[in-house]
Amino acid sequence: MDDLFRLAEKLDELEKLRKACLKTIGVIAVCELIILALVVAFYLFTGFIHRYAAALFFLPGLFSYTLAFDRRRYKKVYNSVIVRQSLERYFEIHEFNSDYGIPYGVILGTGMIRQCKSFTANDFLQGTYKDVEFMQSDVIMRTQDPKVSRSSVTLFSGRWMIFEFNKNFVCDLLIYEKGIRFAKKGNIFSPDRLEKLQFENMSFNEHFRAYTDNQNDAFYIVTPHIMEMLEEIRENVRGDLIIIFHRNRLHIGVNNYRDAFEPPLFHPIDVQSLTGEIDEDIGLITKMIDGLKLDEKIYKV
Amino acid sequence: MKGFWIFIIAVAVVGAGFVIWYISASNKLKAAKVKIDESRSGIDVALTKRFDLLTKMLEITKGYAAYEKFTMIEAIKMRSGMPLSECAEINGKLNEIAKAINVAVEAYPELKADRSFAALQATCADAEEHLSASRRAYNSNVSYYNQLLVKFPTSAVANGLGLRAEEFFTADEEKREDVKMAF
Repeated sequence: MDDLFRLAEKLDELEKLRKACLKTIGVIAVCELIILALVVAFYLFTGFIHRYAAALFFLPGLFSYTLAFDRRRYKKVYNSVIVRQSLERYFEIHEFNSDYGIPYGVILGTGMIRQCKSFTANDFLQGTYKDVEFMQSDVIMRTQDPKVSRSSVTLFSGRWMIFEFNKNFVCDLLIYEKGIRFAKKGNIFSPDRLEKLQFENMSFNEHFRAYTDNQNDAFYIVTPHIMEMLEEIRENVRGDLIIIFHRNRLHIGVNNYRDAFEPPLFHPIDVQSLTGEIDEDIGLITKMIDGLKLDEKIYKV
Repeated sequence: MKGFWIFIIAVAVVGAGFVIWYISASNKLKAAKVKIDESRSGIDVALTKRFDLLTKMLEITKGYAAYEKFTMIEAIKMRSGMPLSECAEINGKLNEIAKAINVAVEAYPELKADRSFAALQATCADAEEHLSASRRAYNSNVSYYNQLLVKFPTSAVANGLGLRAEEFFTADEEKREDVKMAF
C-alpha cells in the first residue's frame, strides 16, 4: 500500500514537471511570436530592420536555458521512477545515469570509427543480463558538412551497445550494413588498415560489408549462426547496424535517429503504455544477447 | 606521316593499357593464392593444437579407462605442410578419438568432475571452433581464387601463368556433429 502511495506521489511530481516544461515551451513560443510581430510591424512602419533587432531574441533564449534545466530534471525523475523499475526486471544494474553516456574514447578506441567534430551521449546504462556484462547509451556523432561550411551533418544517431563477447579473439573486425548513410564517403568508418572480407553466406555478403585484419580470427568470431542471427536482427530492428569486434568486446550501433528511454512531453504519463515502450528499448539489448547466444561461454577458458 | 604516328601512339597506348591490366590481373591472382596459403597454415596450426589437446586429454582419460582406440593417437604423425587429403584424414582420426573420450566421460562421472579435464575439454572445443573457422576461411579463399580462374578475362591470364584450381578442404559434417565435446 505504501509503495502504491509513493508511486502515485512520484507520478504526480512527474506530471507537474512535465507541465512545467510545457509551460516554458509555451512561454518561449509566445515570446518569439510577439518579438516577430514587433519586428515585422517596425519594418512595415519604418521600412528597415534595426540591426539590434536580433538582440530581442535574448529573452526566449533565456527561457530555452530554463527549459533545458527543467527537462533534465524531468528526465532524471522519470528515469528513477519509471525506467529504472523496468530495467530492474531484466538486468542487474551497475550504473544508470541519463546525464552522460559511453565515453567517446571507448568508441574511438576501436580504431574503426573516424574522429568526428562533435560527440554527445546520454542515458548511460551498465549492467548484466544472463551473466553477460554490457553497457549502452544514446550517441550522436556529427561532423562538418564538406559541401556547406558552418553546417554539420549527423553521421550517427541512435543506440550504441557494448557487450562482453563469449570468445577470446585478437582481430579487429568491422561489419556494417550496406547503404548506411555516409559510409561510402568514408566519413564515419576508418577501415583503411583493414582488408575487405567475404564470408561464405551469400545473403550476408549481400547485406553487409566486412573488414578485418585477421581473416582466420574473423571466421572464428562470425560463425554461420552469428551470420544468420545478424541477418535476423537486421530484418527486425529499425535502423542500420554497425558491428565492431575489438579486444574481446562486441560493439553494436543501431543508427535509428531515436532517443531511447525518453519521457513523453506532449501527452500525460500513462505508465502502462510507457512500460511497453521501455520494454521495446530494453528488448534491443536482450535480443542481441539472446540471439547471438553471448551467454554461452563454452569457448572462454 | 602524321597518320602513321597517330597509329603508333594508339598502338602504344593500347599496348601499355594491356600490360598494366595483365600485371594487375596477375597480381590479383597471386594475392588470392597467397591468401589461400595463409589460411592453409591456419588449418595446420588449428589441427596441431587440437592434436596436442586431445593427447593431453587422453593422458588423463587413460587413468580411468583403457580403450583400444586411444593407441590410435600414437600412430598419428603431425607435420607442417601436409597435403589437404592427409589433413582431412588426420582430422577424421582425431574425431574418432574425441568420440571415444566422450564415451569415457559419460561412463566415468568422476572424469567429468575433474577440473583440469573440464578445462581441457573447453580448450578442445575452442580448438575445434578454430579449426572449423580456418577451414571456412580456407574454402572461402579457394572459392574466390577458383572463380577468378574460370572467369574471363582473368582466366586468360591464369592460363598464361599456368595456374590450376585449388582443392577444397572437406570435412565429414555428420562425423563432426558426433564429436562435439559434451559438457
